[in-house]
Amino acid sequence: MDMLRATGVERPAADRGPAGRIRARLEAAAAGAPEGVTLRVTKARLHQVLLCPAHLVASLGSPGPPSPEKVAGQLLDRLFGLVATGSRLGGDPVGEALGAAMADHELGPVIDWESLSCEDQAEVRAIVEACLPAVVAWPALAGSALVRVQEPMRVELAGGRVVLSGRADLVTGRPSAELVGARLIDVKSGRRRQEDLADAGWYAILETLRHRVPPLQVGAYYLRDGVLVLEVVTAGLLDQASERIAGGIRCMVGLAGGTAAATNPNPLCPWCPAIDSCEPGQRSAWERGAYIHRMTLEDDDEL
Amino acid sequence: MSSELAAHQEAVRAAVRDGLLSTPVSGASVVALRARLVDGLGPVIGRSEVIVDGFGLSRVAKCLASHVPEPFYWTASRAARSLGLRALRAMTTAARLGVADAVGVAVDDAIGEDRSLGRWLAGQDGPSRGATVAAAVSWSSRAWVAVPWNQVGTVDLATGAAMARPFGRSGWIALKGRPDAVIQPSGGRRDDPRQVLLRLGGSSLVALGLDALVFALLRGVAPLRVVTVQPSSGVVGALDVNRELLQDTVDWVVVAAGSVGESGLAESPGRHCWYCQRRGECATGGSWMRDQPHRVGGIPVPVAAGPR
Repeated sequence: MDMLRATGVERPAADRGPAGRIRARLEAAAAGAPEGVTLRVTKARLHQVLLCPAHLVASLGSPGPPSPEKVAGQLLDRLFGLVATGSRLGGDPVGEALGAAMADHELGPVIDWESLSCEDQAEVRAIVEACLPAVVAWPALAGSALVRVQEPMRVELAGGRVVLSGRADLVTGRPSAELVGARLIDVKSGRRRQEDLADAGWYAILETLRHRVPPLQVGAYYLRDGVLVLEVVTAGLLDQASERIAGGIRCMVGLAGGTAAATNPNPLCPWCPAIDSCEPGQRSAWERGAYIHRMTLEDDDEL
Repeated sequence: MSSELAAHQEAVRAAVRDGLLSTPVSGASVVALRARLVDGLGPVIGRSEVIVDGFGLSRVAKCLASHVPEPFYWTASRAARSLGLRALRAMTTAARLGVADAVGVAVDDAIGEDRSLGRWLAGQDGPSRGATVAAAVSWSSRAWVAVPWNQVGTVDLATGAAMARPFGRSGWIALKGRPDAVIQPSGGRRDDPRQVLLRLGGSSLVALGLDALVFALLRGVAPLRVVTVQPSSGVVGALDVNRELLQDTVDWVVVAAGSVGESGLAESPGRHCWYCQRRGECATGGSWMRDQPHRVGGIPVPVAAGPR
């Protein structure tokens, strides 16, 4: 609770300078976006394109079935939203999360859940149960915290040809005339990853652009161990994050304009939808001892 | 004065108060607009009840054949706005009332009224109610952060849709406006004719025109301006209301009302086809979509994937 109250954290003055500089940097990156197309940039697509442009294109074309981890994450986001706005959970967290999604006619989590096998559904239940203590341990915040869950955020660049969009799991506070004040928290049901700091930077940039001043803090709440990690938003964090985002936008603008997707072999190649047709990826995966040819029906006929 | 507000709120106050027209469209013009509306609707009178709302009007403006009115039903996010406006009203009048408490009062009040929202809320189970409260708390907080409610003038927060019936209460057509607030920017009396409508969230030009037209038909005087505030992006828009805007809106309403239940209407394919209710049955739209490059999120992808 002390962390959420930012006890001991000095609130910086609401400096409007960074917003203008960041927008100028991102506008320059988006300037070449083709007419008649809306390029939609999300934090996941940004990760993918910076990892390997060919991986982004392959993932967009073949999103693949939902994994138990992804479905569990969706359900836990719902449950966290209920608790953070004052509801108490009963004894069937999966059912409650699905019921909450249905109340909003948000069918994605329901369809994903129903598409899973019994074994995968059991895995989802296990993940949800394991994370539940951290969800229900989330403290009730005062009314002045101005709690927003699943906060939609959107920034248009290049006259709307490039749209950055995201949905922060939890936002509290707000900037005043003199001081920064908002705090953005991403709820994570998976393990801690290096990319989490980049995600925090992504939300810091979206918040800075929409409210014209940076947030106070950004971070993540890890449901596996109930640990809240918050970073104070500094000029350095904003600079690093905006440079990363600008790099991703430049690359995506190129792809949208017809530039062939470059390949960049990386540790995630074995899980890429394009692995079977990507020689550099296959080589990389072999070298890491991780490549297993995906069998097809044709392969089966040959056996 | 401006230094008292956060930067994004300054933009809202400026949009509500700065550079307003000196006088609204005259009452005589509103009478003429009503006559134009009644004349235009005359040839299509007598059909089953039609409600023309901003969403439908936006669809008609893109493609005549895409206007398929759907019966209204409540969802958590739709209820969030209604409950959120009630909560904001409580928060602007009761000092230090927290958002969650204000939403709680709003839910209890709505159930006590025994109207459609209240009946829907009363029938909810725990998770559904939780989702509705979560959406309403978030909506209210978002609105509270986005707009400096106590520094834009005298504010009347809406509690529901504004319905204008050009043929009277028993008439077959209703025009549905949806401003979130009516603001008297100078802070004077509420019957001052110089009013501004405020709407939270993005909206098309014709939908904003409909808000202004409905207001004008109900009150006999048009608002000076419609202001839109998008909390998700911080974008603030201002549309001055003039006679031409209202006339164009009347014409679109006539077209929309005439299109309901009609077959063989002109189909105008475009990007709106991807989201059209008639997507599965419209040959023109289907052909247009098949001809488009396969893109996801704006990026060309292998053919197997469906474009979005």
